[in-house]
Amino acid sequence: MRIRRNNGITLIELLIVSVIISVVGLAIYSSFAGGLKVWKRVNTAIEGEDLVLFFARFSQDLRATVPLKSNVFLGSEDTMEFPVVAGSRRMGLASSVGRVAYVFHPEAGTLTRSEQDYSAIFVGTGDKDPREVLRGVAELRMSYYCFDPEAGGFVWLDKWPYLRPPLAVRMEVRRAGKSEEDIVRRSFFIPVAGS
Amino acid sequence: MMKKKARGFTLLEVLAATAVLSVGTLYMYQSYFSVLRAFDYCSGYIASSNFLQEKLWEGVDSVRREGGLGSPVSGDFTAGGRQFVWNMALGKASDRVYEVTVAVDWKSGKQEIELSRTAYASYENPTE
Repeated sequence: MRIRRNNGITLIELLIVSVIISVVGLAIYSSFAGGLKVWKRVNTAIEGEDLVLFFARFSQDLRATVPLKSNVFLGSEDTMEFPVVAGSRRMGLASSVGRVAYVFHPEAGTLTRSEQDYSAIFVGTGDKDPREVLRGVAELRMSYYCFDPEAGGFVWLDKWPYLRPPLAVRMEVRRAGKSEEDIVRRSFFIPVAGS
Repeated sequence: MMKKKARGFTLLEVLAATAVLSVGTLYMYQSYFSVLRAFDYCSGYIASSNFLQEKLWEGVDSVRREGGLGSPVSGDFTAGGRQFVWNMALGKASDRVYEVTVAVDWKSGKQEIELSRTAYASYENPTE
């Protein structure tokens, strides 16, 4: 009887195994590397994300504004202050009339928002600490829309001269590191204006 | 008693294992691509959002003042390193209520994406 020598691996077997291992290794490596790449990309903030969120918040405040004789709309190029109906911290879930102010600080490049509710003002614990709502702003300009009876048309004003709220407000924002062409402009109607 | 020599893997077993692994990898890839697509859609949405909303405002304002859209009603713009095409349309919801629709189109890979927003505006004819 002839004994077949079969202890050990032939070259062909070795080649097949190494090819299979390399294919599997490549597949595992590439999926892992791809996963890492996706993770990295998803974790970096999308440019302009904060601006979109800020405008959503801002329009919510403008929708909550009310025309009041004792609580007027103030507006200049870098400051806007108006009355809002908002949840009161002192009165629990009840809403009360308060005041919201947006102020642009050019040297810091930030826009801050502060909210104060009137029950707090009377007690003297005015909760008015401004919070940063937007950073990295190189330039910001607010303007106010109204009908000008003398000119017989609608105009944008840099400074709001009346007590009532304007028909609309506009914000033009240039982020740090952006050119003049990349100015983002958003306008918002004020629902209670004109009433 | 016959002793079966069966130590180690046969080629067939290794092949079957590879096939199972590759099916797994395929699903991993699919989820990877769908995450990428969702992310791309999201960044396109954010890049065009402010422009779209501002155009919608302009359209509503124009309808309120003049009862019609100003010109132009379509065009293109670049935002966040992407090319967008926009167009605005006017419809009538009732006698005096108009429907302003702004649509923004962009390409995400091979896909064409369209995002549209509608707002209502009323017009009181001052001569009536």
